[in-house]
Amino acid sequence: MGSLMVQWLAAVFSHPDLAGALVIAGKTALIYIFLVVGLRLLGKRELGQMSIYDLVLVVVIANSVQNAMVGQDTTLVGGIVAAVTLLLLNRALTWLIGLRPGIRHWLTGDPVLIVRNGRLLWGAMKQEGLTREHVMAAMREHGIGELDDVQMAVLEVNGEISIVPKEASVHRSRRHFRGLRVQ
Amino acid sequence: MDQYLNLPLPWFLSAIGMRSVIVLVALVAGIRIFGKQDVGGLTLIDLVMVLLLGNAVQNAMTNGSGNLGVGLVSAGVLLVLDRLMGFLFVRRPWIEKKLLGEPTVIGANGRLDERIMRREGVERDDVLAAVRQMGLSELSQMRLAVLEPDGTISIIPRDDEAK
Repeated sequence: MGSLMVQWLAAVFSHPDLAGALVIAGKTALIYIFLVVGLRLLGKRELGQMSIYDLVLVVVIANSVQNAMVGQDTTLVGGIVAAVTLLLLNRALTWLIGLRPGIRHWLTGDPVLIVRNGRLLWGAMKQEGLTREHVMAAMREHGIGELDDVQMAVLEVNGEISIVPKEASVHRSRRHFRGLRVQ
Repeated sequence: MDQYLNLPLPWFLSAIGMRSVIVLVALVAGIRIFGKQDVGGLTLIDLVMVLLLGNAVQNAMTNGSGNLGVGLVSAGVLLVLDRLMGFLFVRRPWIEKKLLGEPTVIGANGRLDERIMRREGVERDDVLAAVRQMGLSELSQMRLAVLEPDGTISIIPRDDEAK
């Protein structure tokens, strides 16, 4: 019974040696960096715009790199090392973004104006892969049926479309366009 | 395949269950400590991050075993733990607050509190996006901006802007 207990504990608290742990951390870090850069190059930063195929792609990518992260290591600590590496890198990225806002813009892009005073801005929409139907759907969600009633629509960085109706425009200034990318 | 098969099966499965518990607790703690407080909804990178984490700890839970019982035990333990946490949150709301955070007012009457925003990692752009999503065009039309525990920003418009 005593030796069973020892074996059980060994089965629970299994761990790689230090070199193994370092290898896992290193490989995980490389994969994280590769994916962050790769996803940006892919161009689809917005979850809201994602189709089921994009979702499948993401799941498949995550699975494809699994063995590359922890390899043949089946220990408890090995997995935790990989997880902590990912979390730390994500934290570092967040910190870096706070330090240099330019990185954030590179990673997540800017909000894009797609409707101004009831007119669709086709150039911007084409570039972002939006159709008229996307905009109309967002308008209906806000209870607006006519494009004419829209003061502005903005594709936000999280992929959602904001609709600002005309009635809301008591302030006639254009200051709010500042900071938006206008094509 | 399984280096611990010299353990009787119930012992092995209970070890798997224990490992699943430890991994979940470690992940919850890790996300609480290192997790980004960044806001603005789930981005693609967040989703990839979640999936990566799940894959990174897979072997740590299952010992790399393809055994059906191992999978069922591990998944079952996780489901039960999730349920228990739900119960705990209802009984002891302070635990939920500790783990998930509390709603924080980050701006009022058209003005943003830069100090609180910096502490929470919220950027002006995030708030402006939330303002637009409320159908408002300017910050001055906002009465209250609240950072919710789930990372979204709620905007309460001034009374005369209410539609």
